[in-house]
Amino acid sequence: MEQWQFGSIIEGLKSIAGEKSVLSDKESLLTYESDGLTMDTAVPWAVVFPVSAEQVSEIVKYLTGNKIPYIPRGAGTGLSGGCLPVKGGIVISLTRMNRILEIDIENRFAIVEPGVLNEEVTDAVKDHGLHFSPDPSSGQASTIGGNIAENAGGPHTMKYGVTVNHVLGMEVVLPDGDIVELGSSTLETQGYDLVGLMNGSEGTFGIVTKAIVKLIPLPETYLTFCGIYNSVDGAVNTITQLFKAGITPVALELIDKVYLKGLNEAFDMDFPTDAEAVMIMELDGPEEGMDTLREKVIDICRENDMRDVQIAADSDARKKLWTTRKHATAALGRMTPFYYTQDGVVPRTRLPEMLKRIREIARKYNITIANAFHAGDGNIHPVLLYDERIKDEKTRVLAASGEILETCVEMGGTISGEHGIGSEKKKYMKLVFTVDDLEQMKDLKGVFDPEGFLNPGKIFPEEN
Amino acid sequence: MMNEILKNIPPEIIIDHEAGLSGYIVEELRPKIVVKPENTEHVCDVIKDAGSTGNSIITWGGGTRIMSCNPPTGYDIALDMKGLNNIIEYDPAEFLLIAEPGVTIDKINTTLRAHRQFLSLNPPLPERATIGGTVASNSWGYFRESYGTARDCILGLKFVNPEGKMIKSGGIVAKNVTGYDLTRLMIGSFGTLGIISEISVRISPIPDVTLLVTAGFPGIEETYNFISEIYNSHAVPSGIIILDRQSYTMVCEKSGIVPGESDFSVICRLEGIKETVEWQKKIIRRSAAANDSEWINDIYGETEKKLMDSVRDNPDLGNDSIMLKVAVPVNRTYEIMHYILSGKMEVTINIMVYAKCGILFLCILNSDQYGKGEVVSFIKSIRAYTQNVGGFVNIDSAPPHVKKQVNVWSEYPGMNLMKKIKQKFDPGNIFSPGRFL
Repeated sequence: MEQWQFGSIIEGLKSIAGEKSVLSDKESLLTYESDGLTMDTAVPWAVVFPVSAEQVSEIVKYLTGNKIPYIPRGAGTGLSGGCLPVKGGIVISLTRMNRILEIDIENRFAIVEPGVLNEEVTDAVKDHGLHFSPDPSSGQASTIGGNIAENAGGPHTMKYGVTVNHVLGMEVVLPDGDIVELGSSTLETQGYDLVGLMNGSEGTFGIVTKAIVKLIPLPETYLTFCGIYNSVDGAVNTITQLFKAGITPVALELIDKVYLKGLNEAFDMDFPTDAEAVMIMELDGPEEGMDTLREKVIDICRENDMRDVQIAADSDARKKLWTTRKHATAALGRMTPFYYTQDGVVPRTRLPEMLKRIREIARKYNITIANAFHAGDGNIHPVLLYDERIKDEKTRVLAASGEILETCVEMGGTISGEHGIGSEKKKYMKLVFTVDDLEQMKDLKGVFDPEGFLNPGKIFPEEN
Repeated sequence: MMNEILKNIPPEIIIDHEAGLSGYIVEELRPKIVVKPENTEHVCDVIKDAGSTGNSIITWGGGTRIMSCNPPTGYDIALDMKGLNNIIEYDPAEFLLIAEPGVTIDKINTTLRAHRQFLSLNPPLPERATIGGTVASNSWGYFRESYGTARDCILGLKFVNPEGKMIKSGGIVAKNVTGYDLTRLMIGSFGTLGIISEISVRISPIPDVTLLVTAGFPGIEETYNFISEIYNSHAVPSGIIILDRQSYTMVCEKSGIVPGESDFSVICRLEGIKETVEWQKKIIRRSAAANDSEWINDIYGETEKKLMDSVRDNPDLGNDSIMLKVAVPVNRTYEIMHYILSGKMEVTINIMVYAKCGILFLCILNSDQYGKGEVVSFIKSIRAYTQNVGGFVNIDSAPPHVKKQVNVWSEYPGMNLMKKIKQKFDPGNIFSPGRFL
């Protein structure tokens, strides 16, 4: 774009959103060059900060009219490059639309703007014994709009489901500028599940400007175990046995031995570093009956190669355990200057085999891979450690990462459980889908965004 | 002539004689031909031939929800999927089942029972209802209050588009954000976007103990105070169903139970380990007594199953009855109940409420006894009232003359977008035309 044209576009955006609501200087724009996946970068031409659906609509119409790509962005905590302007364009930041508009305790929903942070919803309703269940590790920083775009998960989604299971309705600005409502505040829906479609569409169908989210009761109590295992097989067999016994834990998180030393140092934990795996298991529900469940769980663990088990004695101990798990990846910063997190999924019973394959891949490419899994869902998060200053190491990490995803698909799984495809994994889509499958998805994209200016260059593999 | 159009289809799977067609009438319309595919290739071939010649298709499973849409605007081919009735894979350790669409819900549960597992989709008439029809119509039963709908347990599916191409969506794993969620789009689309040919579903373990606590109350105030008290405790019933006197009497008679005598009855369904269930039972019994319950019963075992099956199948009420499904925000069912009970309705309404999900089923038995205007006027008035409290009303079943006067579907957000999706996915409008959009 010519400089004079660019200047005119900036002026146009300012006239819609206000003088102080557009960033266009190079230094400021660098903040927006990546999301949580720092490996990929793309600097936007400008960033605009609307404060209302009407402003979003005006901006969308203005940019489409000028044939300029635009990309919605929340807090930028995504891990697949979903909010990067990979084809150039303007980032529309929703962070200033951050009001909780309505809380209906009786009917158990809240209406929030997209820039409200995940944990702010629960903070606002927990005194009423309710919470917003999806809990991505980024929950302190990530926004509801971003959670919807990526259909975010988290450790506690195993029992209660991911974001899509907790969004009842929304207001969306479509690429033609129309502001539409989808769904409602009822649990039942009519016809095609447009709310379900919007969840996980990675900001490629429209821009969510309001969300009606479901609030569910907080349990009376939690029971949180930390099992120390001599083998990953033992931990995975524990999960199968728990389900078989009719016990549905609220979370089952497995951490492999590569992590343990770093976690002990970073979070003052005392995991035995010669253990093969640590598994956090959490139950929730009425206090009554928890003693019986505790014994049942411990028995099952003991039958499955568990060396030791600790139970969180109080809410502080539980909180410490979860802080350790949720920020585990950050602790790897003690071991490496750079890391790359993957997000494949395999059938749960194949986790031991998958872990073996990951270790073989690590050896093959001469890199270190740490593993923390949402084990109950078979959702793996191998973290590939590297140092950009070492020749070829980044290249080896990318090749290893591709091989891990290929292995997930070979085992009957898929390439993303909760991080999304974004720009990062689009080249792997053909591992999972045929050309016809992808064409059908493109038809859907065409319904919402026939001109293709909304978040281009995502999800679909580049044509040659 | 239709035989010539379906040139790739073996004649032995085609029915075109009068007697054979009469079992496939939809809203007084008879198809020109019935095709009973035996494999997915047959399905693709039928659709390809029909799609290229503009012949319309209505898909049949067990036929239990075939009356839950608007009358079709075209109906050339009845595609009976019951011949695709294989369980393709069952992996008990993975809690995974993959099935063809024509497998009945009963057949699936028979398979799962050996491993103490079950399918959390429990639509009415499971001996006839197929998994394909259940998913296509997003049909459910009382497990919905704790396990959700098909949108919560279906992991992936395959469907055939109007070009006869097989499209895959989702997969077999519980967490999956790879590509757009066409699975959710297909669930509840009533065969208007594509024909489902394979389904992967997450199954559930059978709980240790299941128990019903039932209680009768003299009025809706006492009934809702009781439920409110449960909500404010730490008890977590798997389901709470309210029935008016007539509805409760009907389900009890059907299941061979002597009904309690009250204007309103509540069934609280508990499941889990024994200690938790027993503890919750005490809370619920105490709350019922504190709210002037006229009787309280615990129902276990075979009787529990019979009563709940009867509740689940209640919508099967005969051709001249009307069943409305009213959806409102979870705690606004009271207002709908109050509206119906305090208004001067010209028709008698039987009410069943799924309290935990904000859904009421309103039944007008023997609707032919009323003037046509009275029934239509009631539907319109309840629709308007429900809209005011943030909900909507669908006609689950009604005689054809009623559907000619009132749309089965309500005004609902996003209908324009839905029309665009229908046009894009099925540009020739061959799949169930007029049934939804």
